[in-house]
Amino acid sequence: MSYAIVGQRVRRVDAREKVSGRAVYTGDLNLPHMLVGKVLRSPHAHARILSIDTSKARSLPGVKAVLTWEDTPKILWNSAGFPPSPGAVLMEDQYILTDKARYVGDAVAAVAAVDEDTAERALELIEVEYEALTPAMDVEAAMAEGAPLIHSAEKNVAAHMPVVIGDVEEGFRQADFVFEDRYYVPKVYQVTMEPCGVAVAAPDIDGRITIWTSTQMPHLVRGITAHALGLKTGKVRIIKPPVGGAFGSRLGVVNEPVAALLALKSGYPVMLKYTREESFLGTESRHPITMVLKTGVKKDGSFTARQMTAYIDGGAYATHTPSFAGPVAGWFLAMYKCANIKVDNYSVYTNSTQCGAFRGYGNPQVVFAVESQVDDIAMALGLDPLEIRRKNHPCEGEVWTWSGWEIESCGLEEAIERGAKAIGWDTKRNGQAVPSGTKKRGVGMGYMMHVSGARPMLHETSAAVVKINEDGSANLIFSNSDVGQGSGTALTQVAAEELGLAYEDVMITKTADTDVAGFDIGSHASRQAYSGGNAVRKAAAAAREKLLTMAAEILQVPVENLTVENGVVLTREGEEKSISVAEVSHKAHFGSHGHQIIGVASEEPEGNPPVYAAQFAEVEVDTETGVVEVLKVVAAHDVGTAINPTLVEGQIQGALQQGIGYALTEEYRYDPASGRPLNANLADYKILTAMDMPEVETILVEASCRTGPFGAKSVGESGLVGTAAAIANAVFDATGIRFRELPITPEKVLAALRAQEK
Amino acid sequence: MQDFDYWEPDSLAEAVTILSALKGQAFPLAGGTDLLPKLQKGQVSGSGVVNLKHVPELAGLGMERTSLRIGALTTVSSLLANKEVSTYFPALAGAARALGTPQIRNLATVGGNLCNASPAADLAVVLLAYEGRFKLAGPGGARTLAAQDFFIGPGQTALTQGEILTAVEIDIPPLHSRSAFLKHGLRKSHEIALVNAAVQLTLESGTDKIAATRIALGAVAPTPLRVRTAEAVLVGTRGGSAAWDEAAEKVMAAVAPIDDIRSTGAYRRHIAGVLTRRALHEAWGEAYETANHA
Repeated sequence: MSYAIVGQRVRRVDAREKVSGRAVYTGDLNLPHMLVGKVLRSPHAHARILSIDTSKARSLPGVKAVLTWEDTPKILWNSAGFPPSPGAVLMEDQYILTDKARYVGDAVAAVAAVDEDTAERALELIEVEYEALTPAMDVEAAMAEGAPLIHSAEKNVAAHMPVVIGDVEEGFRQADFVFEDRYYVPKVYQVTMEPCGVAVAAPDIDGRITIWTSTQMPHLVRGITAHALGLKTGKVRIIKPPVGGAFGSRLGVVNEPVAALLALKSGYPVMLKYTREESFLGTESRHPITMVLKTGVKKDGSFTARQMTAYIDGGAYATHTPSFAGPVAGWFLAMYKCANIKVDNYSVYTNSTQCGAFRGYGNPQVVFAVESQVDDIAMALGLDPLEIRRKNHPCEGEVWTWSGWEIESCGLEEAIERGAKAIGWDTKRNGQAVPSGTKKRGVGMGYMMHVSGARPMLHETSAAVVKINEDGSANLIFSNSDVGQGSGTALTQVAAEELGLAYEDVMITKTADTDVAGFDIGSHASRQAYSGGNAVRKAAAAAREKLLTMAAEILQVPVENLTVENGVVLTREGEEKSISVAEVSHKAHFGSHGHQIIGVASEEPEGNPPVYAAQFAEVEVDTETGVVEVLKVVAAHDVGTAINPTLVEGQIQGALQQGIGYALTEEYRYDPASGRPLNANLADYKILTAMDMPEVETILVEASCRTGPFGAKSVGESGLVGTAAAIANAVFDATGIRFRELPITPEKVLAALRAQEK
Repeated sequence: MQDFDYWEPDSLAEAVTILSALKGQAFPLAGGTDLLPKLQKGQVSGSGVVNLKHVPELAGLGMERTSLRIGALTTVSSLLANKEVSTYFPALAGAARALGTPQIRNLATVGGNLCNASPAADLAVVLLAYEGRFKLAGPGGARTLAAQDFFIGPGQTALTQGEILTAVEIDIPPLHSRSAFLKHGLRKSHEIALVNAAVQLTLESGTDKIAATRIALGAVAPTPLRVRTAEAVLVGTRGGSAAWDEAAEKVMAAVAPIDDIRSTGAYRRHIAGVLTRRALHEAWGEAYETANHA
């Protein structure tokens, strides 16, 4: 199926403002009398706060507010941005400012002052007396006998949620072989270009508060912030300016409640802008997880039992973690068919910064473990790694265990076939590509499937309004949670396609405003194109229907004979009658009707179609230094209809940079004894640079689905989900060494190579 | 940002007078890529900043007879763009290319990179191998120090109170010499070296015999390190794997790397050996070409 605007590589709606530097981000705002907010952070990973003396800070000229736990509403809340839903387990365990320090960086006090220097001086003048407690920096320490309790949960286990299908013990008995392996993935950060944590809060004379914030989800942040402040939801207005990247880091409340409380207490607008170091110290990261996989297989490579026990390090507060455990189980369940599956998830508190959402939401962790083990199984059984995956993954028409619904479309077979060809699977594996000297090469792959939203775990509400102006242009009013991925552009394409207008004639609200746009749960779960796109398409369809009805009256033809293309309503066939959309709309506004043509939709989409990818990596291992160099990545992705192929490819390529970093260089580290972070900066936390990126080939497989707008599914998160597994499997192909812990650093590789020599 | 007093001298004499009068309470500013982040974080103990950017005696980059004079204010980018540097001092060009990011290279100066005295400084290790002469000016007049005498420890140099590094001079290497610079890090740009190495080999004309060699490494000791024991084993030999291995052994014995967040000391020691071998191998190929086919 081909379309006029969907599928075209149109220019982004925000291209000009971004490349010219004209885009005004939250941190660029400047309101009259605006104060600067700052947060005092605990230097201890775990400590009782015995006393806080703020008198000196309060008496410093220029200081307008100094707040501690005493000043916060005594309302517990949870920062995770979920709509109230069956799958949202929202344990409320935090205050806006804490009464006990649970990690280095925990917010103990906050100030607002006339400028940054004064605010910083005020922080220095706050005297806090701590009684240091023993920190527990990983799940083993936290769950150990006699471990100090971070909250009141026994053994620091916030939640334990087993999921069982069939009987794994019976499955293990039926197996010819049983594989049991332990995997560990570290804490990593999203590292958005605009550091996470920037908000401006301004109270008004009517008792409302407006918060400009760099967020993924204006409406949900409005609700959580209002709750934390003890206000009615409608008293809070959230405005989302352009956002400099999110990747999950802004999936929920970040620092909006602190900014708002400072503003309400001082009576002035307050800018609270975290530094890069603070965004490491005080905002949410990807969960470290220890996973024990036990898998029973028959000689032919079919699975008889699959079991995962996962210890999820959630950090100091519950936030996402107990809910996050649900998708973690879902990713594991849905990857491969098996009659007997069991997942045992422990959500554990530790004295590290709380963990939340990061592109993939547990899937990169699970896929690394599963796809590493599946490669080992294929190797042991003498099967081609591609074959064992083809044999066991669920296909179109089968039940997708993640949702319990039928799989609408699946492009995985095509992705595997085209990806394998592009990487040179048949010619390069098993040491066939041998460079000279001290280097070894190999290729590997990883498969993944992902979601196009969070149904049925979460409600997937979106809303759109399309109004056709008197000149034939149209406005699309949407709570536009574009955080850089380009969803605002894709939704504009969907609206223009449905309306039959030129792309340039449809204007989306680039800035989201909860006072203006209908309820939308934001950018997460790769949902904007699918869930948002469906609402936009329905609103546009409603407007189109009204437009055509009126045009039919004017042209004196039956409405079913009309269509609209490129701004002109015309008869489908036969008689040659036409009228421009501008003329119809002008008559609507100012003719005898006296109304504007407006289409509205607010709904949840019907489904949640899975997307698929097969990623392939070719690596070169330097056996003298241990350095793994990724030479090429082929990313073959089934995204459904690609609404804008350039944006889709951009999403995949950008995600790969994070995926390669996850595999090889990124790890946020703590000193295990003191709990102090060791690399809360961009010099020592190693995200990859443009110089480090390998050749990347993206292959789009467009297995369109029935329920998506023009057949679209999703792409936002999936680009990094399979990358670490593909690289680890390629390293195995090159060296014969299996790495079950990320990142695969040169020191680890070198040590393993030496052990192998012995 | 902490408060500070600010001076902007426009001659070397004035700069020296100001720095002397402030008795170590002021910090010289050139590119600012190290100093400004420290000021912003309140990590500087002094109270004054003396901007040296307008001191004409510190500027300039060019050949003076058979030496290259690198004014202390020379930016890393301008080293990279300089034809004499790439022709005669390929290891210096390599180190300049490996330093920081394009934005940092546009601001950072040679003087700043050296006076900051990081054991990992990319330019320091190269200037050690090129036997740079460090030109200093202070209240007591001008003096010249050999590269290895300039660095005292991490963040510490031989500069006395009020003294300024004005320039570094390096001689055009003898005929049939080739140098190489290698840097090992976890990524290819924006990286502080886990280990870096610079070597120079000089061959006897028309032979494959090594007449002289210099080997220097960074990030493996409190200061950038010249390893003369390794150099000694190569002189008079005809190079080759066994010779490089022997030199690498000497390097690994001489270095004293620390464990830190970036690497274990053991890994740094190992890499010091690998880089030595690889740098010698790289320099050898080209030196041999010039000695036998020029």
